[in-house]
Amino acid sequence: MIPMPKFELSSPGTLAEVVAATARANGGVSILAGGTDLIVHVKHGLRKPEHLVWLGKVTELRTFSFSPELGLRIGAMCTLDEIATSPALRQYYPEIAEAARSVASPAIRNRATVGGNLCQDTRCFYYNQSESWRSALGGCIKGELPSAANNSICHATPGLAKCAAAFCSDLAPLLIALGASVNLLNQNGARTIGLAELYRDDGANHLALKSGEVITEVLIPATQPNQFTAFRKLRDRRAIDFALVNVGLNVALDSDLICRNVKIVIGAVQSVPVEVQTVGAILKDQRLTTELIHRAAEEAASVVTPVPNVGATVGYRKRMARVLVERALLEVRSRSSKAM
Amino acid sequence: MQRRLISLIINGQHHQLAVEPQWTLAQVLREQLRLTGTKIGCDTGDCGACTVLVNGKPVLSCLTLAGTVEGDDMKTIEGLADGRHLHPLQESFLEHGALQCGYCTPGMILAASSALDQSNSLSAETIREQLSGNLCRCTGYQKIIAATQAVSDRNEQQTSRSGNAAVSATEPFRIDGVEQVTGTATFTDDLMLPRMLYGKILRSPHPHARILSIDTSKAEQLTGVLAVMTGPELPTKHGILPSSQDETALSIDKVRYVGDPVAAVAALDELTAEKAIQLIEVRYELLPPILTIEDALRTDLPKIHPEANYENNVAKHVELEFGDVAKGFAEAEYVREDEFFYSANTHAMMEPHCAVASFEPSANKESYRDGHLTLWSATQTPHYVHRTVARVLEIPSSHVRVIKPHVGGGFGGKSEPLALEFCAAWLSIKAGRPVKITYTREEVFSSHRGRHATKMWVKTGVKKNGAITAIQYKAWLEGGAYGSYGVVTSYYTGQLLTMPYKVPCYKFESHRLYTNKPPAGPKRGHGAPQPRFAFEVHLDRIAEALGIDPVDIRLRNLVEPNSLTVNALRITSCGIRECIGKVVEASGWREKRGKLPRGRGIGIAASAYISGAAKEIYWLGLPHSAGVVTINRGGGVTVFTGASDIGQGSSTAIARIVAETLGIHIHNIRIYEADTDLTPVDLGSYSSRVTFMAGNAILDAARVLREKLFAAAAEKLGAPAQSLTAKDGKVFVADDHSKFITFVDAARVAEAKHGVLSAVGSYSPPPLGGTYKGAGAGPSPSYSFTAHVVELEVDEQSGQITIHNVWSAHDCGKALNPRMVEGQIEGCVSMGIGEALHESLSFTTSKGKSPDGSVTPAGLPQSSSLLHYKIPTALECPKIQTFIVETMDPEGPLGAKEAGEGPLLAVAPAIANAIYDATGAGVNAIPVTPEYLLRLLERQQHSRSQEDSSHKVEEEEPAVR
Repeated sequence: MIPMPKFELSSPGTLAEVVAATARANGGVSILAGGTDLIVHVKHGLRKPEHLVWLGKVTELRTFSFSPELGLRIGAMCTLDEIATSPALRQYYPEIAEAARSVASPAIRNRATVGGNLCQDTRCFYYNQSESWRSALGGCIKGELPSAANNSICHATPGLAKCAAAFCSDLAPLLIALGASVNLLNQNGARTIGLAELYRDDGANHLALKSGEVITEVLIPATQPNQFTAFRKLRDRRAIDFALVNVGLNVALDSDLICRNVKIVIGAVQSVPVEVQTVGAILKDQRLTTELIHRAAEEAASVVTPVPNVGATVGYRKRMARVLVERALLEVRSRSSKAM
Repeated sequence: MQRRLISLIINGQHHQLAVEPQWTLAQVLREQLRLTGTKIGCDTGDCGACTVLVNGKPVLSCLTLAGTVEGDDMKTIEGLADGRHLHPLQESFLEHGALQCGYCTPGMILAASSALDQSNSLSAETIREQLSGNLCRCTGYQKIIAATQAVSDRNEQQTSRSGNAAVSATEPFRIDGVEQVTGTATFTDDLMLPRMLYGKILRSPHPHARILSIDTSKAEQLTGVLAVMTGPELPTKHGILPSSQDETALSIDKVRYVGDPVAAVAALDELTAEKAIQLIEVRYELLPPILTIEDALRTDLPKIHPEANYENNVAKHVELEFGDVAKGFAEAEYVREDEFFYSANTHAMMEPHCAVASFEPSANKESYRDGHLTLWSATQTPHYVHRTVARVLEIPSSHVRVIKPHVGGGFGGKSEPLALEFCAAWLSIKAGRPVKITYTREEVFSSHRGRHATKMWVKTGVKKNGAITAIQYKAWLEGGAYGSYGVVTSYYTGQLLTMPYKVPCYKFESHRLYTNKPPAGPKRGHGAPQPRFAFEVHLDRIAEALGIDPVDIRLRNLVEPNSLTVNALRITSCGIRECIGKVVEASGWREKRGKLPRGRGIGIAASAYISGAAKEIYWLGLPHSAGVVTINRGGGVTVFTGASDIGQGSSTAIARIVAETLGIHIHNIRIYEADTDLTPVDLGSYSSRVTFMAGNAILDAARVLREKLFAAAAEKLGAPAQSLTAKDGKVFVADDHSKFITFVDAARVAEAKHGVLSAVGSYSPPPLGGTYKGAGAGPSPSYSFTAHVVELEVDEQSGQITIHNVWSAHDCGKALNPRMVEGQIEGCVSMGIGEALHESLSFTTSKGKSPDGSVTPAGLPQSSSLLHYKIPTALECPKIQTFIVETMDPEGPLGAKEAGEGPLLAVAPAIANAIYDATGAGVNAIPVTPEYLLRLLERQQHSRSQEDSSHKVEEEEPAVR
């Protein structure tokens, strides 16, 4: 078995204890939720925590509430399986359930959490490897190694002095499209930010969290009757694999298929989920014709700039962004026609 | 860090355990509680082998810290059966033949049991989804899904009208099946000896470099380290073939691929061992890496093995001509040439390699050579490990014992001695304590010995009616850093191309090349899948040019039973015509081919494969297999066989042969296998030789005993021995069943008459093959035959392919165990789908200079995990309909021949041919990735009309990566 270096593990029972634990320890603290991402990172030497603070005992983080008027509140420690199988979600937000179900494999979803999915690390062929592999590579921006030659370069995009590791949450694009926000907490207090604001365009450090901050809850606004959402994920195999491209779509459609409030977010292509604003502009107040869908999809693909770091080539992932957006739009159009 | 006392509830038992915070649940289950039914296949959450149930739901124990499941209700495979009564799923897995090696089985059964607990009625699609994180490399999922479905259906029936779920007690699927489904089967990594140390191997970070110095002093000083070793301590060169002795236990002067072993340590625990190898300082002088077939052919680059015979990096060159090829082409009415490329791929068996060595020193303090070494290894070839380890360690063979515990699949990846066996043994000698080395999944990929990346050119002449007049073939095989079985591969690529077709004249040329990548070697179908892919696709194109249906051109050219091929391969039993007939009829070929809607297509391909090589690796004329059968006084039968069951079920096949011959139930037979002290020799589980050769050896012994039984029974019954027969535990007069004695009584009178009943049998193949140089590769005492039809759908926007149906017919002579044969066919289909669509080994390429002048090094393997290397999941598994064709081979044991490899060969070309039928895109390279297919579709749109007869592999297609 791959031995992990020694660390401390604490299991606080309340949020107050969590805050105290993260505040007390300094840099060496990592938050452990489901562990399906973090433990692999520790085994690969990508993370060397001195202290893990496990959130599994904090019942406040496992709340789940829904009302058709107020929307959905999901505690950060709800598992992806709970989300995927929740009757309320399957009824009112079936696409969120679908996005949760598209993650990895059933056993991983039984452990992986919503908060963990939103906070999981960016990925790259040159980074998500064993320690010996990365020392052979000579390091990189994200995977700095002591006295390695390549600590300032990105192997996926030579010449760019910036890490381009790919964002890989399957939930985030759809949740951003739905206007979700997250509650955060640390020793200095609680705050709420839009989910999109949680991310910043830096593959090496893509979470805009303050020191010791944990996600406590995800807030998803109530849906309107004319609102349609779609989720699409492209991957090599139908299970286990991370997305090569994923798309979250949220659109309000009038009875005559006129688009209002369009939000399209593309994930897995860059270090952050990309909201393609220009597509919203193309679709807004327009009738959702096949021709328009085609044009919107073209536009979406032209905006994203994938990097060769997670498998398929740049050209393919760009092209598939178009196909996925197109399919998502066709799907909502077809659903809206049935609904009306 | 302090250990902390935690309490875990496992299988209803409360355990108080002192654990360190960083220990995973898998580690605690396996190492502290010795619940070794929980397996480690990847240790990074990509395979599902370590699945356990936490509060009824499947969880990966390799990613779960033991400290985070306190108080949870946990279940491991050991807790599933209710006392002596198997869980219905365990019974169903056995009943349906839903397992082979048993390594993924515990996790698979637990995941399935959770799915069953959650719903009373599961659809096949839900089962696939629920099992999609549990990888199986052996059976191809269909039987697993069926086994789960059956229990679900039974549950459903019981809730509506309480039915009887009793399982019919017929012949067991496997003699070791119960151990496998209950998690008690012992694999090498499950062994823990008193005072055992853990070994780790330091590997090269460079694809090609000279070793200038190695400093192990810091590692030696680390507390907890008991032995350190480097290459010069074991300088004897070895290699599986006498003609390619180009490896040492650890690298001495040079490293030749990223992952080449350099040094090894043994320490009290894995963490200390890992730290120790990081403290070893190696200075290298970098050499230019050779990473492509093209570079390997250049004469101006350094030689990877300076002592090799050629001026470039050619390891082996073969050129053979049979008949007058020029004349054959002159007689042709249509000639076509094509080029193809088959990517490197690897076995990805679920069990990582593991070896445990224990050395007992002798009283003689002067030399370790008088001591005795016991080596347990997850190997397919204990005999080759035995002789090579003895030679390299300079210990008399008689002082070395190699034991093969349960093996979790091999597919060729465990068929020669590897670094871990030498290192575990030598470290055990040095430290004076047992040493275990288990490869990480990454090391399994480094160890490789898998499919050679192969560039191929093929030219065929035919008459207008499709009759082949001549074939010419050239191949360039990328061999990686060492010889392995490569010389054989260099022959197989050509020798096996023409089968199953009759060819009047044939010429081939092959080059095997050294490159700075992990060594290629034998993978299921050894050397044959690449030319099969090329030729079957090429043949479809010829058929199209001639306006002949792909089925008809095949039927026109098939080899016939009892014939000799142009390259002197002797064909005896041959059911290929029947195989094609079965799949054509079942698939509805005539109604579908060329008639399905665009995007949907159907394709066919056919193949033949050896049932063991007629020539052994070292040509000494010794038997290839031997066995001892003993009848005990109570009527039990003990079999000692050298044959290695690596999950394919050879022990069960052997038991079946003995049971049939002696007329007893298989329950009365105990098999002791693959222990070089206890069992007679067998060359190993490779080249699909075991059922045929070990089976014949055992049959030989069992027949001797039957004669003794009959002679004694004849006296007792007062009937001539020739009139007797044995069945159902009785020896009786064939035409008067009232005259019988029981097997137990027969054994007793026979022992009184003849003395203790024990017999030795052995098998040597008959002299076969031509007299030309190279005639040793290809001949086999018999050949199996296969035909597949594949129906699939192409998403022309994404390039993704969904395989809907596969119809497979395989001539295995006689199915000694039909469920096992089906399992082999279905497993081949699954692996073939992986090779055709998903799997390839990729490596970093050197990239331009970055601002600070550093460069991405080339030759680092990029797909060394079960996440990046994509073997099919249950959701990629199509509906497979299998047909077993029985031709009763005249020399096979009870008529049997191989079933384990042959059904793989024609899968990829049948898929490629179906893609053409679906879209008109002509596939020239494997795997058909979505992007590659989209490129083909685009090109086809642009230039469909200008198509000429000669397709060239385009530059942008996946060249050697």
